Amino acid sequence: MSLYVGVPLIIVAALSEAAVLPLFRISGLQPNLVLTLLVAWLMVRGSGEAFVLIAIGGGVLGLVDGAPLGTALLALAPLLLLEDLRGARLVEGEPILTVVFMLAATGAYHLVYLLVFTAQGQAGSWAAAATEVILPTAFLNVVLVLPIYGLLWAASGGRRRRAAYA
Amino acid sequence: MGTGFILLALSGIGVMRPVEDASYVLIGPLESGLRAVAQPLADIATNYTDIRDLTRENEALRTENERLSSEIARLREEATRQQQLERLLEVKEALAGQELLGADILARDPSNLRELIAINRGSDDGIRTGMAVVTEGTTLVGTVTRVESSHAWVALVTDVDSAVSALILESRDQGVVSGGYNRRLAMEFVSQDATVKEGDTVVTSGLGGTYPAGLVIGRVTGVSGDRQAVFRRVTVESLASLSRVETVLVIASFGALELTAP
Repeated sequence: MSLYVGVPLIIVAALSEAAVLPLFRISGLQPNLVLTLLVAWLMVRGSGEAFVLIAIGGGVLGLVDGAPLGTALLALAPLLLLEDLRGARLVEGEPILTVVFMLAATGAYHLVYLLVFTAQGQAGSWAAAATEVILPTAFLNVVLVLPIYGLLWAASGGRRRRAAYA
Repeated sequence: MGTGFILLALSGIGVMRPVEDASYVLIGPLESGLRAVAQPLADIATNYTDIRDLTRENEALRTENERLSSEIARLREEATRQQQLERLLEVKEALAGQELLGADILARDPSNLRELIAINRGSDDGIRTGMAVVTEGTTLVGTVTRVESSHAWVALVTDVDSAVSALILESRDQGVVSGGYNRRLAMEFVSQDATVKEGDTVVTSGLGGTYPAGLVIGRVTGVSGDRQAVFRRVTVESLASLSRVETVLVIASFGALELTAP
């Protein structure tokens, strides 16, 4: 497991998010595949690789979404702050921390999109966006991030990073 | 050679017949024995050849099967596309006099906050922002919101930023159909005395000059709003399968009017 796997994976995830997931929306909503993959990668593999993947994932997603170019990259950028928060050890247990980070990342991600859409004069009610889009999407992302985290954790040989930190 | 001629001559006059008979008696069993031993080998050789032939034939049939399967898939796809094009042609006939541009859908915006699709026609094809986009049954899909040289983005009617002047076909009651999050579509500003009911058809009214009149938007699925409220709220379901639509028509001859106050 390394960037040799991560880079193609994040590109495929970005393309799938735009081409495949819209066909399988649940109540008009789909999970943010790139965001969940990045959160899981950050948790399992650390910030070094995740930073590269954030740049690539954001770049590809920006090319295929309908928002102004750069919005996706900007929306994924708050993930960089999560690594700092991680040191604070707000919660014990990596899976729980992953869920907390996923919720925070989903909120920040949509907040950036809402800000950009509002700046363009195109966003609807923020309250409606929060209750009807962001919260249900956060739930979908949490459901998705746990198996992705588990797979990455297993593929990375059971958390080699933990040993490296110790 | 001489012996051969002699034996041939003796055989001709029947002198050698007893010898020939005796030889059959002796050689026959040997021959049978050898045949019995050789037969399985011959069978194996024959079977091997047969198996090889059958394997080759099987492979050929497999290849043929794959080719036919892919041909069937291609023909099915073509038939589906043909049906789509036929339905779009009907739209073209229904919108006679309008210049229509066919377009395929390239991508869908993955954001849950917007309902946008990208089409493979852009400014090079004469697409401009504000043009209306329709599909089968002259059903309104949305409006072109951003144009690049080779492609354009279309905001669907279900997009949160979409608002279309509309009327109920049966009762002629007017309102504004606006999109919402989660692909919700609602008709607002419908007066309390409107006689709208479930199943009624909602079409564009043409008011405001943003869309041509008479484009189908959807069907009424619910009516709410108590008597004290100023307006009734009507929920609408788009008649176009917006999440599955693959081909659309852009009404290129109709541009949004820039209306100014009198």
